[in-house]
Amino acid sequence: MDNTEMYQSLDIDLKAHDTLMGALPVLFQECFLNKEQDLKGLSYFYSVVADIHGARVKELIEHKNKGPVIGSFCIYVPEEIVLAACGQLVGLCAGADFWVPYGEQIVPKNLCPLIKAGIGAKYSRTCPYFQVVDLLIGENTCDGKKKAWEIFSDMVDMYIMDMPNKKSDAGLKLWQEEVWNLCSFLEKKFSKSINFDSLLNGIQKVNAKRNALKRLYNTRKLSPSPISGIDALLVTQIGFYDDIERYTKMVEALAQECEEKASSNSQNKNKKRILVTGSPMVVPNWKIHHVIETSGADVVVEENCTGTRYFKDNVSIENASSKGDLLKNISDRYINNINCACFSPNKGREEDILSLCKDYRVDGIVYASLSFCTTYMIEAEKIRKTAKENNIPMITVESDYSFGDLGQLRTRIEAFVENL
Amino acid sequence: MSILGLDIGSRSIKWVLYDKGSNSILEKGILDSTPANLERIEGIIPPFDQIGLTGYGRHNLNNVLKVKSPKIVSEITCHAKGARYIEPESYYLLDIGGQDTKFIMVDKSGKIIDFKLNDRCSAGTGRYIENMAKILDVKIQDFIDMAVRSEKPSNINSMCTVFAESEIISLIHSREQIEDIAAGVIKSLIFRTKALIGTNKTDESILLLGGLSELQNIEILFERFDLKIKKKSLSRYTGALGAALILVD
Repeated sequence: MDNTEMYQSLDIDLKAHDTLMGALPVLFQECFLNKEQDLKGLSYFYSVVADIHGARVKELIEHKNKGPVIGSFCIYVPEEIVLAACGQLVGLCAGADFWVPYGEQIVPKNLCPLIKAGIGAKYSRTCPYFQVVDLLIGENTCDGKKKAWEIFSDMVDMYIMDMPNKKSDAGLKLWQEEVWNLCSFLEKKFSKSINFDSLLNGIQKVNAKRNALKRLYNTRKLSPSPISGIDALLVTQIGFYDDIERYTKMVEALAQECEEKASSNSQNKNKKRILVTGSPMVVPNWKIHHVIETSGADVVVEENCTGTRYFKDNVSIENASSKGDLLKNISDRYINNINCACFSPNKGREEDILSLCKDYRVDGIVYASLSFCTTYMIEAEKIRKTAKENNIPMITVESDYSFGDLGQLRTRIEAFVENL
Repeated sequence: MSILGLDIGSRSIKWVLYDKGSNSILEKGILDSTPANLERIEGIIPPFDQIGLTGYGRHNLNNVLKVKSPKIVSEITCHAKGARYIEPESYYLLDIGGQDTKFIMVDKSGKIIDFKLNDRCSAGTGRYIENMAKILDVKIQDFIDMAVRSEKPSNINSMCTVFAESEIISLIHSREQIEDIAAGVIKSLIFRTKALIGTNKTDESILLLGGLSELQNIEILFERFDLKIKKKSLSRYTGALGAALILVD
C-alpha cells in the first residue's frame, strides 16, 4: 500500500522516512521471523509492526474528525482522561538508533537515547505519530525529559504534568491536582466536556486492556512459558499505539491460546527464567530480549514501563459517585502503584521485583538500563543488594540503541546464563 | 582423546590442545586476530577429536571451521575454568584483554560468584596500552620498562582512549618525561581497573590473565598503585584451556 500522499499531508520527510523504514524489516526479521513460534494469535501483532507507519496512522487521521490525537512518552499520563475527552493516546517514536543523530543536533550526546531519539524523531519529521498528534503531554519524571519539553515546545503543542519526587501526602496532593488540571485543560482545549459517564467509560476500557495483559502475563508464570519474552514485549509495546478495544480483544485471544497451549504442553523445558528490569523498551528496541533469548534463556517477565508497570493494578470504580471520585481514583492508581525510579525513596520497586521473582519463578535478573538513564543506573545498586539478600543472581547492563556493543552484551549475558 | 580449546579474541587467537587420557597440555599456540589469520585458522590449528570455542569470535567461525557441533562457551566461564587449572588457589581473576577487562570472583570450588566487565569501549584494556605506546613510538615492553623507571607519573584523566591520545600529545608538547607519561598511562589503567573491581574487597593477590600478563615487571606497576597481582606462565591461555577443559568434565 502506498502511503505517500498521507505522508505528504503530514509533512513527513519522505526520503529520510524511506531510509528508516528500510532498516526495520532487517531488525524485525532478525528478532521475530527467524525464530520458532507457534502462536496464531501473534500474527495480528506482527502485522501491526510490519505496517507500523501505515494503517494505524490512517486510523488516527480519521479519528481527528471525532476528537484529538494525543502523544506521550510515559505511563504516568492517564489514558482514561484522554479517552474521556474523545481522544486517542499514542506512544511516540523514541526507540530506534536512526533518530539519535538527529536528536544530537539539538541536545547533548550525554543524554539517554530515548530522549535523543524522541527529539530526533520529531526534528527529522520521520515519525508519522509525531506528525499526527494535536498535543504532546509531557511529564517531569527526570531532568532530561523536564528540559526536553522546552525543546519540544518549539516543535509541537505541549502540556506538561508536574511530578512529585516523594510519595508523601504532599506529593499525592500535587499529583491529584495535576490530574484534575489535565482534565480541565483537555476539556477547554478540545471543547469536550468530561463527565462521570465518559470518565467511567474511559476507565473501563483501560482496565479491560490491563486485565487482558494481566491474563497474558499470567501464562508466562508457567514452565515453559507458552510465549517467548520478546513476543510478549512486542505485544505490550503495541498496547501504546493500537486502538484500545481491538487491541484488548486481540490480547484476550492470544492469552486464551497461550492458556490452551500451556495445558497441552507437558514437557518441561530446562531453560533458565529471567526477569528483565530497568528503563523502558520502546519499539523497536528489542535488543536485550533478543540477546537473552538467543543465549539460551527465557525472559518470563519485565518489571519496567513496557512490562508489568504498564498494567498492574486497575483504577477502582467502586464507591465512586462523582467525577471527582473517579479522578481521585485515577490519581491514586498512578501515583501509588507505578514504582518509577523518579521517586525517592522507591522501596516499592524492590518489593515488586521480589514478588515478581517469586510468582514467575525467576532464576536471574537482568537489570538493563539505557545509557545516561541516571535514576535507573543509580537504583541498580539498591536492587542488586536486595536481590543478593534473596539469593537471586543479577547482572547489570547499560546500553543504547546502537548495535556496536552486541558482542560485549552477548558475552556478559551468556556468561550470566551459564552460571545460573 | 585430544581436545582443542580455541579462544578467538579481539586481538589474538589462542589455542590449547589438551589430552584427556593423560590430563596434560600437549601443545599451545597464538596468532594475531587478523582477517587473513582467521581465514586460514583451520590450516594452523593441530588435529583434534573435539573442540571448544570461546572469545569474541566464538559464534562466527562456522564458515572457516567446518567442525561438527563445537562446544561454545563464553570467555568468562572459560577463564574461570582455565585459571583454576593453572592456579587453583586464586579466587580473584583479572583478564585485561584486547577489547575488554574482566574481573571474575570464584569460590573455593571454582564456581563463579560474580563477574564484572568494563563498558563497551577499549579505555582501560590492553588495547589502550598498545595505542598509547604507539603514540610514544616505543615497543610495549619498553613502554612498561620506562614506566617502571618513572618517579612522578603524569596524570591522565580522560575516560576515552581517543581523548587520552589528545591528552598524551599535550603532555609530550609540554615536555613531560616520556617515562612519566608511560607511568601515567598505566596508572590510569589501574585506577580504572580498581573502579571496575569496586567495593569487592580483594584481600589477596589477583591472578592476572590476558596479554598484559606476558609483560615483564607489570606487577611492579600494579603494586605501586596498590593492586596486588600475580602471574603464571599460562596466564594468557586460560580462556583456550578452559574451553578445552569444559569438554573434559
